[in-house]
Amino acid sequence: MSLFSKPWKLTSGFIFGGVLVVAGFLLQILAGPVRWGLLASPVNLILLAVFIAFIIFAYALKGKVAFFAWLGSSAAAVPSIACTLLMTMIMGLTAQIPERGWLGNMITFWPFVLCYIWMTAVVGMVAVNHLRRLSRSWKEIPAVLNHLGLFVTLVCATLGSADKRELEMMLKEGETQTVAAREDGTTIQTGLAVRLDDFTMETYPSGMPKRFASDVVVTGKSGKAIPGVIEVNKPMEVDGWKMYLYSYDEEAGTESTISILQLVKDPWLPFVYAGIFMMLAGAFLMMIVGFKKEETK
Amino acid sequence: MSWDSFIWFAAASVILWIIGSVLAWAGGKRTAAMSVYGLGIAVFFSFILAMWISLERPPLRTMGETRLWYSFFLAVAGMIVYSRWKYKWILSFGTLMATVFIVVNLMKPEIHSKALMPALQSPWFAPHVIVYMFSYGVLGAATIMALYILIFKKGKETSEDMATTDNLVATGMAFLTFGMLFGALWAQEAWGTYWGWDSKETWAAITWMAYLLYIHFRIARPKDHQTAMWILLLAFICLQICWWGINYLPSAHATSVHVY
Repeated sequence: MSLFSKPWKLTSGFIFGGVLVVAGFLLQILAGPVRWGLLASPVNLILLAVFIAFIIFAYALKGKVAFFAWLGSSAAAVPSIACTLLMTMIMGLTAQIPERGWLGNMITFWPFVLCYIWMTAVVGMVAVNHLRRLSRSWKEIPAVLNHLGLFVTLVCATLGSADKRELEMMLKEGETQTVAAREDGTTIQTGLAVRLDDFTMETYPSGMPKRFASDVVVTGKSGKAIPGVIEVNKPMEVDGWKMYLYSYDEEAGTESTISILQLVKDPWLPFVYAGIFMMLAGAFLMMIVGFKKEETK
Repeated sequence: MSWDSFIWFAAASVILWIIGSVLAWAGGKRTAAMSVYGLGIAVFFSFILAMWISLERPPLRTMGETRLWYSFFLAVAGMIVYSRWKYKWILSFGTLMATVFIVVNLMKPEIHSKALMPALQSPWFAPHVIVYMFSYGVLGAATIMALYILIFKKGKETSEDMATTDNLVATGMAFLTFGMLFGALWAQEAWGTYWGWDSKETWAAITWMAYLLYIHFRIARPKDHQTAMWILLLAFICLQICWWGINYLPSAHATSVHVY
């Protein structure tokens, strides 16, 4: 198994996966858990450029370097999916409570993260491969959509996570609020002025909640007062902030005069959506044509 | 329509499915077999529709209600396979599996009230769950194929058998993808997070990757049927954990928004 000459196969892929997991363990010990917060812009943009450059570089050299040829093949897809699957299974079987150590916080566990990066690199290579063949055959379209869609979704969701802002804004009936709290409890000015006119909670005869609604008037950058009703599943958007109904005074129940909104701004969301819709279209086409079989090989 | 009348609809459907299966075994009576079997599906679906109307919401909320759809889609998947690939035994297996879930529902109907909590009042709710149940049904049929190949064919499976299995997985996988991504789009609308590693989401990803593994293994090692079928069985176990098994996983129960 040489990096340059001997062809890499399925078995070498599983060895590579094992090495990756060991490397992850070492990183975890030496550098500590993955700190996703460090990825905030512009670091994520730089990493995106580096990752895409690596994929193009690897693709260009796949005729010369056996490792790169393998990285874009089904012989790498199988072990990379298997290793990522295994890591995700560990996550599914252990309670995700950060106080419980490494396995309680899998999304910051290096072996888990490295397996996902490996799988994403394979998906990226395969996407380029199918894209190149697209000019010769329209039959490549489902594979392009599936792989490129998954690549875009994974990359943008992961790199974008540090740029996502989630704030909580507490509103009292009749009052206007402009500040909101970060997760760590510190507050910031949102640039929005939100007045709560009325909070409504309806219940079923059993006492189970049926409907929550907050009548608000929001004044944004434009200075125009925008009236709206925010309900569960019905957020409102002003100046790029999506406002979700988050909580209320649970002790007061239907008498609550307090409504807590969640304000979310996620600049990478449109790209994640683009990836998701590519995958939806790809799945639809795969349903019609099936996946490629090479039984005769 | 109340849940009490389920037993009558279920009995009528199962009898029709059994007659259809017998006609399929008899051979040469494909149209008759499919008509009777299809009638059974129609009777079963009429109960689902009646429940929908009387509950004033789609019957998709409780475990019992999702099992209703599962029985329905298992029967549908069996019929699709029979009409395309003519396995005379598939209708019997579809009947058997659908009946198992009917019996579970009769023994343990669970609650079926009209109440729907606000988070579930979304246009995404029905497509998210129905698409998932259809995919579970089709992948159930793929599992039957895997068992058939592993136990009865033992290396003598035809390329036709493998093509059937691959096609079922491709269809099931497409719907699994729809279900998962509809869920992500819904979650984004409901609370601004399309993916939160909730334990149901984690197991949905595991299930999705397990079938992805099958598809890519089939491309990488097209001749190793045995291993491929074992991957398919593993994937089906993941699917069952995702669907109801996580309710029994201590790791998942405390934190999931999907416990029902």
